[in-house]
Amino acid sequence: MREPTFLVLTALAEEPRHGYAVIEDVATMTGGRVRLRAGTLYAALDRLRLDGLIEIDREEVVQSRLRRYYRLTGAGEQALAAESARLRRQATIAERRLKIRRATLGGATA
Amino acid sequence: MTVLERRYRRLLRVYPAAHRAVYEEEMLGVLLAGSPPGRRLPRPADAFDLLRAGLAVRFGRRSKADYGTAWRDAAAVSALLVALLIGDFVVTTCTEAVSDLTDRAAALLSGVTVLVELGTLMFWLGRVPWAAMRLAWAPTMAVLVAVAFAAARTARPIRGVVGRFGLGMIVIAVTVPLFTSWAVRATVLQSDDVAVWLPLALFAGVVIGIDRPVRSRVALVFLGMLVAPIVLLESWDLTVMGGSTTWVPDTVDPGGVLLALAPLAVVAVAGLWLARRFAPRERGHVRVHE
Repeated sequence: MREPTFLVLTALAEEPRHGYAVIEDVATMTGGRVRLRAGTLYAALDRLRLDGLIEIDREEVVQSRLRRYYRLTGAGEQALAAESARLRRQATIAERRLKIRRATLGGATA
Repeated sequence: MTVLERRYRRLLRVYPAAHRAVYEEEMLGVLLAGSPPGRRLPRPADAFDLLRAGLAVRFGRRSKADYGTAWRDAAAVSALLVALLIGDFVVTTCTEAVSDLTDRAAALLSGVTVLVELGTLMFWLGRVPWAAMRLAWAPTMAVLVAVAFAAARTARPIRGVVGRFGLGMIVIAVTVPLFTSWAVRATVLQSDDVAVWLPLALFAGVVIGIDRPVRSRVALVFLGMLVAPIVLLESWDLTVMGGSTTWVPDTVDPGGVLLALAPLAVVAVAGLWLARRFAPRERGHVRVHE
């Protein structure tokens, strides 16, 4: 799973959001590091829809412009859980090794 | 439409029509929401991202994917065509459609059509009761039209689906019946030619001019809306009414009237169910793959 996909799913895990709200939430979550652009966002949304990981929650017309809210499906929830578990396992391994490294090298790096 | 919107719209043309039919308005909203007021040129990074993503869709594996909104566009166009076709019989309502062919006018037209057809039914009810019941197909079609418009609330504007040329043909099709009496007096044409066949031919032209994912669906929905009530009423006659050979029975009892009108209820219920399935505001009723 590529990072934009993971972040979009994470944004929708909280509540149904429309496109622009997803962009803003992703920017907030990543401290401004990732700002999704429309092309990338809709490539991800379209693929996730076709894969059944997200679906349309509702549509609204705000200032004569269509606003479509997306939400996570059951399959999307599982995919996000699996991906975050995988990331956590890798992060745990990385942290453990860093801890061992610091312990064996002692004050060498200090 | 601002300069920026027009430029983004032009950029979005890099996406295939089927993709645009679903996402164009939504993507425009996102692009414009992210632009400071007064900006006239698309941000280069956004433009590049659109080109990259658009070409990926166009040449990607999934470029042939179906999009649910195509059905909604088809519902909107079909509903308009059927409404106009019924409206052809009610020439006075046609001028409304000529003056403004937006969704709202079309919806209004379908409403007017319902009223007029119900009025016709009531008019005949006092004279030849059974003939009035035979008019049930008209309200049935009107119900279908109203339901199709309900399902098509977030479809693209009809103007965008049929194009300028298609819109022109619709306008001609609506205008032609106004000259029915003149044409018939000139003995060049029969009344049916002007009121039914000419508009139908023009509508066929409109449908042929529609882009691909929507075209075949309009053909299906439009024909379905025309044929379904007839098939329903015919099979209703044959099975429930016992296939009476005399079309105008001497006496009409209340039970017979209710039975004769029952298909209207069937269509209404089926239509509402379908509209719920396609209606955008209902939670979980928009399907991902159509």
